Amino acid sequence: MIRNARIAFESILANKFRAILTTLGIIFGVGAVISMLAIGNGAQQQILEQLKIVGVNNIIVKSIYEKEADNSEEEESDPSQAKKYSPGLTLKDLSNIMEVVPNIELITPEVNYETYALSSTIRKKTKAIGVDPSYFKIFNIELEQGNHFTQLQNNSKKKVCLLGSTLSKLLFPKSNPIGKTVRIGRLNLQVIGVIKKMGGVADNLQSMGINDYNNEIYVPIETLLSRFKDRGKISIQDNRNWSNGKKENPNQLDKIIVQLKNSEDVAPSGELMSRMMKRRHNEVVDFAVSIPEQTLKQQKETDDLFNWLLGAIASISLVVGGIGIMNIMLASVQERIKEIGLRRAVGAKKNDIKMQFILEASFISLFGGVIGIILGITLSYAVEIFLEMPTKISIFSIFLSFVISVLTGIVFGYLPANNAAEQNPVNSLKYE
Amino acid sequence: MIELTNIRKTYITGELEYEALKGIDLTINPNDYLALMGSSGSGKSTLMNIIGALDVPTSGEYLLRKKPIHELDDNQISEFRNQEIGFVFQTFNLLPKLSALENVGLPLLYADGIEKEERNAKSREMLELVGLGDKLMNKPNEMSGGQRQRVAIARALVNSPSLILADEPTGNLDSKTSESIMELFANLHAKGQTILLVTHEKEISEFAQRTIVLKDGIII
Repeated sequence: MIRNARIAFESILANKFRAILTTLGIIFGVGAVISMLAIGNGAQQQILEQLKIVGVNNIIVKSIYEKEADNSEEEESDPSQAKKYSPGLTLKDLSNIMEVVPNIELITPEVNYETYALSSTIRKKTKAIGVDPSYFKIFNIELEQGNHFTQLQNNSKKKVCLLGSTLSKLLFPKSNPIGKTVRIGRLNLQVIGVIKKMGGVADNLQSMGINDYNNEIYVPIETLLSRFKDRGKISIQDNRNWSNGKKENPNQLDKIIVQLKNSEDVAPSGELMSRMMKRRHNEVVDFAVSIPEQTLKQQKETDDLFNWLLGAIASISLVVGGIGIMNIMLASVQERIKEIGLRRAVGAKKNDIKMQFILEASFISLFGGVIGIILGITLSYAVEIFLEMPTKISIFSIFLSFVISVLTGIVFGYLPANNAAEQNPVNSLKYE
Repeated sequence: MIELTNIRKTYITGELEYEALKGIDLTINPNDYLALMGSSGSGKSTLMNIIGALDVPTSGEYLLRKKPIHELDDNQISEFRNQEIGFVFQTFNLLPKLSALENVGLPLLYADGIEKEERNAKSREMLELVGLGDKLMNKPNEMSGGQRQRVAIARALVNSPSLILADEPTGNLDSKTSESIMELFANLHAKGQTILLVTHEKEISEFAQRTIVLKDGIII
């Protein structure tokens, strides 16, 4: 065995170029399998993490408004839309939902403003988010330090806030932010807590209505509604005049977030809310009802399918690589019939010849497998760094492709090896 | 040393039967130097292949030191070739990617219990014996025809075989080189080596002690 391994090894060294060409198939096959599975796993992992962030049984109602406020030309071009009046998303919608939708566990309104936050010396662009204390329960938001604000603090419009982890470090690079004052607009807020750092919230989540917890400032909604820019009581028309600019939401609320008790209620309740709100808003669809969990699960199903497809394509390339090895081994047996005859003449047993060819094929595919694994890992990291797609290399995929590459060598090495050994040495020696 | 008794070999291709050897009796004694002559088709290659155990007789007895070779299985026959026979071919049959030293060491690779150092030492010794002590690392394509045949002879000698089987060893060489190769065989014979030379050239056969002529599958 050791002897035949040495013979096989020497034989590969004697034909380096051919061996390298042969391994290319396996290298790319294994590399493809590992990196494809890593990309698939990464996407899976990301969705699982996102599922944690969006929480279970949540429905988010987001208000939709025109970013370019009061574009008269456009309204003229679509008169049917312009003539209808909608009150927009308001606290009245919220109380209506509470009345109509059964089995609500928690509910919170949300407003947000693009603004600047000021510590004593530092000014940072951020989003001020006004929510009910139940918001933190809905999304399982934990604190790094300090306390959440309470319903009492909310009701009494206390000037307190929670900072996102990243934002807190930016505003207070050296000191503990708890107890310090942060200024937004003309409002001074006392920091009572810092939110625990969370894995990045991707763009797709933000479009579903999830906030980027790390970079924002959380304020009791009552405080924000009445003290920051009062839109608690004014009508939408007033709001439009008042906001007078671009990006601001003319509606009273930006979001209403509902958490239900049972997961089977989520889809029907979502539909119920849609219909109810449409009626309340005079058939103007200035809101969007989304169920992030459901969306993500659908996304996961699509991803699963896509992963299978990727895996299948990669496997095909591995098989093609294996067939390449078989071809080369068959061809090399043809090429080396005379050599086989000579080896037999000087005393090689049939088994020696078989082992030589099997080991040759195994070494080649093993070598290709190892290089392929390195390539696969490199590719995965490259994808993560340059394409900013999450990847996760699984030990399983490395093990799998390693086993496949060695098996390819043994299986595809056996056939030509058997051919080679069964040659009659007299005929082999005469072969030209 | 070698006794062949009533060796017959019949080739069957489809419905055609062709009897290449029709009952050969031959004895080879230690330190014999035999020439086997015959025109093409006379059966001399077949006989050589049977003596070299590359082929098996259809019937008959083949004894080496009273041991029946015709009864061995494939593994034992491989061992027999490895230990007892040294082949020298007309076309040298060196492996092109291996150096002279590695080519000579090839039979030792298949012999049990020989380490690399010993293999290389023996191979070097044999190459020095055939006068190629300075060409150890040369590949076959870096050597002349005569040198290649010397490497092949060194390979045949390396495992100290009982019998050297040389099949037209000068067939691909010019007359001057042929002569030096034949001198080498004569030297080996003088040192006690048993040699069977297969040739169709009368001049070459004259180097041998004894000549056997084969015609239509029988010795005449």
